Amino acid sequence: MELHEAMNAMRRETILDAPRDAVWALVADPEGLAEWLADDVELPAVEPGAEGTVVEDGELRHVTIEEVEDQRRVALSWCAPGGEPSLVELTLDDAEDGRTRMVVVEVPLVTLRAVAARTTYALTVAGGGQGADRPQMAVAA
Amino acid sequence: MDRTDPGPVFAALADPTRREVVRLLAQQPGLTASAIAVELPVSRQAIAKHLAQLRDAGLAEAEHAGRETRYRLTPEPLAGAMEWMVAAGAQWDTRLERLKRRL
Repeated sequence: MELHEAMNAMRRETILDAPRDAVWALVADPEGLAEWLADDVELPAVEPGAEGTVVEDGELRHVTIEEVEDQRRVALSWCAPGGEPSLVELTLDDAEDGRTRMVVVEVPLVTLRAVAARTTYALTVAGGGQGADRPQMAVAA
Repeated sequence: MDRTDPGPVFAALADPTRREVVRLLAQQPGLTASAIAVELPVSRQAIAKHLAQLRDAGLAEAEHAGRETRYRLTPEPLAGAMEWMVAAGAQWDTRLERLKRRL
């Protein structure tokens, strides 16, 4: 069983036909995010603690940037009014031929609280981590 | 329980042992806590606790038959959790398509 399944998380992985710094520019900047993440992105900056809103298909969500790891990772939490708050992690890796792999994990916060006290660790486990140094969570097969 | 709130279901299923209990109950409805404990490397008491949490989340119900308590799944709340995941996935597909077009 994949770890994201173990955590009931939504996970998407895609290869983007652009180098990592070009993708990062669209991830780590409010105007960059506004180009693709939602119809409208109101954020002062993409840095830990920054708060704002996004509007998508007429639905507004409150957003907080939780963590930023330069050129690699942005974690944010968001919540639609009356909805389930969730944590989103966008992770970038170099792929072959100068392309970039992006992994998106979205996890309801209630799941994270149930799985791990530290959200950072839970996110790493959920899909951000790559390679042999990736922490492994004991999961019954 | 509010069926539109998948929170308790996600919390209930976040634990690997509880997912194993759900899997066993799906295969063999009407198992007792003792019968489940035989299948899993966990004590009967621990299984009883997990079953209580599954009941609280609306995922299982108890049935008293004589001195035994048998459990079966009531999977309706799972639909809410699945809907969340399907909807969230569809939204990310759309966002990632927009990102690809922009690059």
